[in-house]
Amino acid sequence: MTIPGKPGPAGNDLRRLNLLGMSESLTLVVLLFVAVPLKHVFGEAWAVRGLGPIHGLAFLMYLWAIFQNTVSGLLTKRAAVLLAAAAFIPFGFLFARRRIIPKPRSAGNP
Amino acid sequence: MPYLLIKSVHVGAVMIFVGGLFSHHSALRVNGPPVDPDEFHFSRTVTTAAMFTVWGAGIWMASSAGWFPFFWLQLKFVFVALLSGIHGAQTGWIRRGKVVDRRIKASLFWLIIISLIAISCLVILKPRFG
Repeated sequence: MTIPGKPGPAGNDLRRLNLLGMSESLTLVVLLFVAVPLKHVFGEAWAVRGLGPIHGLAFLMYLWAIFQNTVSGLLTKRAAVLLAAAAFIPFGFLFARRRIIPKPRSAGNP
Repeated sequence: MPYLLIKSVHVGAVMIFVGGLFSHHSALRVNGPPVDPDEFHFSRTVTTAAMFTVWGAGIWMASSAGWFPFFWLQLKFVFVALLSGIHGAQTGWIRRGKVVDRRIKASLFWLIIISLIAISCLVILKPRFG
């Protein structure tokens, strides 16, 4: 299933969305599979305290980028909803990005 | 000391962000021809970077000072989210070369003004509700 995006002449916004999505996904995985077990199994809460706000920031930036790309017409509303939903699933963005985010058009590939 | 340093960065980034908000507001056209997106590429990048810095520094300050449970801060987040949303819409429209309805443009202007005044009052007065 491929959701049609609307590629534009400049791919910077999509590249930023990709970077922010990867950051969000990575921080969520580390938080869930490293920091949370450290806290609940070994009683070490420093990782959750440190990584929690970082993941919160990455999550907000990612949601903002989805909104901005939807307004600019690079993403369809359906793609935006699916990308936002993927943020709640570990590794969700990695699976979603290939199918949902349109590839930026370069000058030689109109 | 780190708190004051981060606070300085936060305030500086706020000024750049707000400057960008008004700059992009002026750039939006209510009648054609649409704005050239490339003309505002640098400005959009700097304003967005400033907005992310505002968030990061703000979250760090709120976290280190333990302000998250306070209602004034939660209310402030609503206005910050509103301004961030307006910035997202502005940059999206500029990127798209969209001509904006005059009433929408006027509404956004007043939303920015009201949000900025509300944020100033909340941060400086830190009112306790209830």
